[in-house]
Amino acid sequence: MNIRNWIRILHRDTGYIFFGMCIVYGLSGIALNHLDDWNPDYVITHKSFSVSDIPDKDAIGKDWILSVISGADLDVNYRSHYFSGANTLKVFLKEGAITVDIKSGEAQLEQIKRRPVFREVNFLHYNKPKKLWTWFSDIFAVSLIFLASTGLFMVKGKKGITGRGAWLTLLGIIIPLIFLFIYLW
Amino acid sequence: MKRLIFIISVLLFINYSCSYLSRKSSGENSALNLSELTTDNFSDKIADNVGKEVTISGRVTHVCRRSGQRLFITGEDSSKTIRVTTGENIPVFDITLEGNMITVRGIVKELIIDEAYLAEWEAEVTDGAAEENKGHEDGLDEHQKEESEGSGTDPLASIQKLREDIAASGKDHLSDYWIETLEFSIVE
Repeated sequence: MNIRNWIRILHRDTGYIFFGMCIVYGLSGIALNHLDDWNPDYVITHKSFSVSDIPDKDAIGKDWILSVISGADLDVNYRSHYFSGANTLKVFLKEGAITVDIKSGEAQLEQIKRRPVFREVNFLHYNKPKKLWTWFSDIFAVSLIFLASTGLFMVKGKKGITGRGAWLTLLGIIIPLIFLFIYLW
Repeated sequence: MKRLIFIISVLLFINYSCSYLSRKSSGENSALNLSELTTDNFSDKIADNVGKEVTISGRVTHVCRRSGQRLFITGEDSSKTIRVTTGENIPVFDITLEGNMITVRGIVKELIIDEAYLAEWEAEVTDGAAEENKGHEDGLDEHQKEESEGSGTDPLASIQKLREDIAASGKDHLSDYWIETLEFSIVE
């Protein structure tokens, strides 16, 4: 068997093994590329509303808070509350939190939901598990280099690395270099 | 394939055992080092407990949205909050912990903020590296730095303020304390 056949076999089997990892890192790569636009781990929504007839601070308790939740027609579940500031009441919910300015009556509901799939892939991409996962993801990283390198030699002829492939490869190297020249060097 | 699955299972078992043994060894020492702290007496007793294993309970008021690497707990006196960071066995804190009462077993850590620390921070700011290195790994909390750097306050002014605080303290440094988690549990 010649070298090209071995390259194809190893490229194929390595690709099978690390298909899942490519999906994990691809998805989380997209998510983490847009950190300025969104929180990739949680869906966080905000809703403002007003609270009236606020009693004295000492009289604010669970019952009053439950009446506020009911009055604002919020589909949330009370957990606990405390005063984070002299005039700021923070109510913890199972779904998030409500912050109330007890002077002005302005309130804001923050609801938090885990973002499925992205939370999990980001957890892995950030190497949060550490230990054995670090080894496995390092092996994956090396395999990506292997896959990229062997991919150059999969095809012979004018569509391979000696033909059109050379130009496409060069383009893929030049683009990141341009960004480095512009933004870093 | 069966051999591969067997090898992976062994490796996972070894990984879990190492984690268990490190947790267990901490537990064996805990009988010697555990001290009861509360969020209210934390600031008074903390200096004596640096490097020691402590147990403390409090209500989670905030979990870092960006990294999930730190949270804050408070007690009866809500003006006093304690920063708790993840540890080797705790990769991340879930935001949904906010509002829960938790009990944390961890190691008390201290960062000494002295002229050397401030000079290094100042050099980062003036070299323009502050953006890339925002928040030291184990130093001044990212929230604290972001409060000064991200809220429009000049970081150099914050550094100068810290220098003034050090001078006013009568000592050659300030101390920042936090707890690095070994394990935690939700009480309610």
